[in-house]
Amino acid sequence: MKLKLSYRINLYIGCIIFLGMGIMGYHHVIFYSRFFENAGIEEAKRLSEAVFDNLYAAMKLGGESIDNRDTIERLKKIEGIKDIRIIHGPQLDAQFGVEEDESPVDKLEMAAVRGSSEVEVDNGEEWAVRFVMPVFIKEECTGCHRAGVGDVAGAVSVTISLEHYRGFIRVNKKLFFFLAGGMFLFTTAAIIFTVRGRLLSPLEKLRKGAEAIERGDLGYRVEILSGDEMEEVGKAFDSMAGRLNETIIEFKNLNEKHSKLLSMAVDAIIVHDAQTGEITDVNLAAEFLTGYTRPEFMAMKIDDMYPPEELKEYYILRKKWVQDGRGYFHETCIKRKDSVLVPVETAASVVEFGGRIYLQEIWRDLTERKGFAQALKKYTQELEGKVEERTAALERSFSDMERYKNELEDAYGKLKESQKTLVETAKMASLGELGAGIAHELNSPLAGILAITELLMRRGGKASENYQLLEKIKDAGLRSKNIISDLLLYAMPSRLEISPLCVDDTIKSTLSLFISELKIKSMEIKEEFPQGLPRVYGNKGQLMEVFLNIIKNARDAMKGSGTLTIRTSLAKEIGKDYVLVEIEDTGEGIPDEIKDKIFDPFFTTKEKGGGLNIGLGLSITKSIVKAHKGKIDFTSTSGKGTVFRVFLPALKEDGTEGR
Amino acid sequence: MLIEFSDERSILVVDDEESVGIGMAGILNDAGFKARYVTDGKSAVEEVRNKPYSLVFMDMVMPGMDGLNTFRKIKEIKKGIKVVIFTGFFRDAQNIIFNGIKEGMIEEFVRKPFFAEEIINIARKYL
Repeated sequence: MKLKLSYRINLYIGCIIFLGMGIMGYHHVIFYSRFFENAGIEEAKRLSEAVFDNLYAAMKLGGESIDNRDTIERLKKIEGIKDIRIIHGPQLDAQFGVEEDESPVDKLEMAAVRGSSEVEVDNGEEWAVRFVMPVFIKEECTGCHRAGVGDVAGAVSVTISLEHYRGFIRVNKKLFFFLAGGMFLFTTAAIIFTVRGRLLSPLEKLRKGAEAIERGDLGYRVEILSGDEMEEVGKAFDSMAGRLNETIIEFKNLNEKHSKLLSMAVDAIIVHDAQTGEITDVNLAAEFLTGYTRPEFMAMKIDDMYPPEELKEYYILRKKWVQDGRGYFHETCIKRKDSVLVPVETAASVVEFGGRIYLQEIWRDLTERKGFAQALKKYTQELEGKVEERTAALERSFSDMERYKNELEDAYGKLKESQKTLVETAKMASLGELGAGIAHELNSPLAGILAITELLMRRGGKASENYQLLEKIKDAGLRSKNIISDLLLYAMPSRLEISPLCVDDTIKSTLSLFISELKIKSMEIKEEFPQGLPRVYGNKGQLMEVFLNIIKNARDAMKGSGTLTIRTSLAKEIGKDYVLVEIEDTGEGIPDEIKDKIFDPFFTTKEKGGGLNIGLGLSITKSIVKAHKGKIDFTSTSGKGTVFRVFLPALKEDGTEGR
Repeated sequence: MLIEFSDERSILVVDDEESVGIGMAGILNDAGFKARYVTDGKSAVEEVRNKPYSLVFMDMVMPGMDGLNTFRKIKEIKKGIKVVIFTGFFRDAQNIIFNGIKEGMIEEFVRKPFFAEEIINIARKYL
């Protein structure tokens, strides 16, 4: 019978207490009854003696039996005395005649008149005790009574009522059961409390723990902290769970390792029962080789794997393997799911496990090695499959075509653009190369042409009829000069001598060396060069070209008059130290619409007719600065002027570039 | 036409391109200087050795003896002589120029081609 432990314990203990209480209660009642009965009997005895004494004294004084009756009637009136009777024996009857109401009427009185004392308890309607005492003839009695000394004269019967004790016993009984019931309730409550708190809740925890572990939650811990034996049990449980967890993890790892070894093997591995031939385990390679899935394998026998013509040989071999307890290499054929035969080399081994013998067969596919016809068939089938697959893919592709076409057109457009840029770049490069090659050769004769032209112009004077023609020669010569110089600069030297140099000195050299070219006489030049700036690493000639170009632009912007400020300082940009050169003019400024074009090659604001520029100056400047790992930018305010800023990486004291 | 030379205003133009020499010398003579020209370094050294020039305009790149070597020779002969280098643009021109600067050779630098005015201004500055 399934019964909760707490109920069961309560039931048992309750029964014991209940029984004990019953016995005790019963004993209690009996004890009190006997006690009162005995007390009543003693009382009756003493009363009997008193009655007898009284009668005796009355008789000695010569009293008559009528006096005796009177005395008895008086005594009867005392509370608690139910009855007092005088019984006459045979001697009295013989002497005084029989008196009806004083003859013995029952067994006790009969016995008493024969000489023995009798006691009786009446549990009838009224609870009472009765004592019957014989009265013997004494010496002094013989004066009146005609009887021998020691003969029984009669008897005295006294009945004492115990009825008034009944109430006492009842109250006592009630009190007893009341107290016993209380004790019973308290005991039960204490048991329930203890069992619940100390026994059942830890047990519940243990049950949950056991269930968790059964579910596989091996990290579960019951953690009972009751401070008693249950805590010990809990600790033992947790330690068991911990150990179980470790063991299972170890086992899992091992199992995983083995499964991996098995499943990752390139050869097919099949394990089967040596007696029944039922397949018990296969690896992935086996599924792949045969085309059967694992569940299919599990429902098959190893015999199904071989074509009928191979089976006879196979049975002989298998018998031998089992007999020798080991396998051998041999070549055979197995049958795939699609009935294609695959030549394999089998390496078998015999494994005993759990009292049964298993055979492990490892099949190595020999198709490739042998190039069997079966293989050909297999490949043909695969090929057919692939053709179908591809055909389907091709059909799908047609739908994608439209999309691809658009993308292709886009890409083509971009490509065309790139090609254009590329061609331009290539043109520029070859132009530069060519220019570099012929420039010097052209320069000298050009210088001669210009020199002589100017000479003739000066000699003839403006009045000369040839002056205008000579001027045209001069202009054409100047244009040629500028084209050559710009082209040359644009074809940057491939190798440069670079060394640490002082930017201030470079600027000063530029100003002094090219004083004639700069024609800066009419401009005011402010030089703000602070002491102790770091040096930079670079090519002095190229850097001079940079400053020259910027200064020339500034000069042109100011149209010959204004203030040119050249300022150097140390600047920090993104954690690097730079020497910053600012070249500020008070010219007309650069219009917004061309601000993003001024570094473009062949961009110029100066008229071709002026013949001084083909628009390579700032483009060259930018590429030189870039080659020096620096940068160049500018800010310009229309009507107020322009500031060009050139950043060049500062050298550290140890000679490395500032980082 | 032979021009009498005096110390103060005599100028030598050295350029392998004869037209440059003719033009420059003509411009300078018309401006009141006494100028002659030669077309190679060797002749230039001879000229300086024999005549009291005080200013030389010289091309940097010439066949045979180039500008730098010619300069060295000339300075050996006449220490106080001023030399103004002019040259066209060419690959690595700057590097050659600054080799000259390092040697203290170049007083001023004129890019070829040049204007008559530039030449006259420089000559006036030094003479």
